[in-house]
Amino acid sequence: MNAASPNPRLLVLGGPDSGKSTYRGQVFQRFEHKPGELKLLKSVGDVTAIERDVDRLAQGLQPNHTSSNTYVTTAFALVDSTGRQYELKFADYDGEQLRRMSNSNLLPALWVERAQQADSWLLFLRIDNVRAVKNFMTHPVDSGPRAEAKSDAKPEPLPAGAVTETNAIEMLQRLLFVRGASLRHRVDTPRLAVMLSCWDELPESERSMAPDALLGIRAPLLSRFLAANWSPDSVRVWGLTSTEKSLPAENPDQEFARKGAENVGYIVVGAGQQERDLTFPITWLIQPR
Amino acid sequence: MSGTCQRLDCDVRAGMPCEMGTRDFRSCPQYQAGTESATAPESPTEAPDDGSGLRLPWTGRGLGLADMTLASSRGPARLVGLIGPFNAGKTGLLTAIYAHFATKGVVDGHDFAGSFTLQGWGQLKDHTTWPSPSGGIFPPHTPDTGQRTPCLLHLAFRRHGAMVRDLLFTDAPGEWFTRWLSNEAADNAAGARWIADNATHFVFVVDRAGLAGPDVGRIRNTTLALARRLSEQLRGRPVIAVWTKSDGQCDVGVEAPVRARLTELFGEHPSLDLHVHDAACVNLLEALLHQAPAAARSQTHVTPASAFLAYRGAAS
Repeated sequence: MNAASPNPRLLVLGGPDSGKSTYRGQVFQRFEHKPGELKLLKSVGDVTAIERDVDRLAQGLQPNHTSSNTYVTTAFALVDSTGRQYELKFADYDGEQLRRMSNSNLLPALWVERAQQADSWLLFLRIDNVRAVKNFMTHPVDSGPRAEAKSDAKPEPLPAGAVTETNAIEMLQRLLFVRGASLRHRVDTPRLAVMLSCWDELPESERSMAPDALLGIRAPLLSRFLAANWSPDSVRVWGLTSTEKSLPAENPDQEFARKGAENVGYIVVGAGQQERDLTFPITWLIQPR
Repeated sequence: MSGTCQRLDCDVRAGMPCEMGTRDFRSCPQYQAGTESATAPESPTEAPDDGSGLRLPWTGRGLGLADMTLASSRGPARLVGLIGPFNAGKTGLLTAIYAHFATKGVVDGHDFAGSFTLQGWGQLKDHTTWPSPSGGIFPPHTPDTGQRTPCLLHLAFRRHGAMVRDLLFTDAPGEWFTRWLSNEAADNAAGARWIADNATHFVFVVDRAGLAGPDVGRIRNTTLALARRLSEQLRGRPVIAVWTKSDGQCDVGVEAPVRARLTELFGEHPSLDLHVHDAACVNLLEALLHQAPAAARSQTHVTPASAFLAYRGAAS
């Protein structure tokens, strides 16, 4: 179990375009303008690493792609409703770093350290991109192409989203391994919150589902991997839409700007259940129990 | 990296961990650093990837013999030897097991708990995906590489929070078994012997469509001869027979005596009629997870570790 730590280490995990920057920018807006369970104890001292994202969101623009090989941290002094104080370091980086990690067996020293020290893991998965790829064994095709590949044949490259599920599993099992978690038994630490981002992009029929049920359908191996390796109290799967619609890259969305970024976005906690406090997953991750 | 390791058996160059066990191979006394060209940092906030870090003991591709400890470190792994002649459908069966399992992630309450060979499974499955220009095809025959140990594919399971259970599957070319059949001691049958020696469970693969086809005579002979060879090596280890390609034509008249003979050779054993489109392929996983391994691997007791234990009393 997590000990009560005044300096919780949060490990943010997510590939390219998984919604990390947008969420961080929106959480900042909540801290600043619309506090929920977590409030700022004092204003953020150094906002240089986040101000551009926040500025773009305030205008109704999507944050820019995080430049490559960066890892920038913003520190928040927070207090929860019970008066407990935290110094939360919230990092952002380009997701390519994580993608590379799933494709090589060399885990960079900095990431080894992060995995070992962080007891709260926040994983972003762009759920509208994750889906099972059809193969003729499980989804028979009518016109029978049952030839056999030549032994030197390379399979066709798969659509980008298709490998997301196995990449996420590979990344998680690697990070657990460097922590020394043998997985002999299910783990309590690190606590893991999986955010299924871009929930607003899902078809209506799926938006009304419970997030963990949807993960079970779109990424069954990952869903079972979580259940198999984390004790039930230590893992959560939530839906996330930080901006409730995709924001333009160039021409600001005036309506969004007028409404105020801090008033937009929600977490899906169950079938049809929305939580407007975007800081809610962080509260769950860092609060001692 | 531009340096080299002086140890011949160290695979650092191939991207594997340091053989001497150092966390950073560059600190190993056996490692000779090369001249690295200086690269300018791309960003002030993070040092560029300088190659330092922790090498994980798996790449995601098929495991080799040296990697077996990885899967067996947390409990006894089950090593499933897939035995069958060329073209019996061994690789197709493995692919189908994974493809069908991946649509649910669970079989009989056993949740998927990870795999050290996700890429290896993915490579098999990727051949079968569609839409694609090739339209979805069977994975190629496993190449006959002349290696002495098979490539292993791994799956881990956990049921209701109990301990993890690891399954390793051999993906060996049929040629190995053909050579083992013609000469049990042949040098180029070492791979087949390794599987026969080390597997904890066997899956004996029978080409069901082949037994109904024009080549029935040869296929029946090879199948039964291989079954006999295997039966002499069993030492109480369990066998499951899988009759592949069961969606095609089958000849019950030919099959009946073959099935009876397998029972003579292997004893009463589970027998599954499967084809790659059949979601029931995962039943093989279920059967393997439920089947108890033989009480103890007899070979581990053949040579006691100390001469004292080997002493069985003076000859009378």
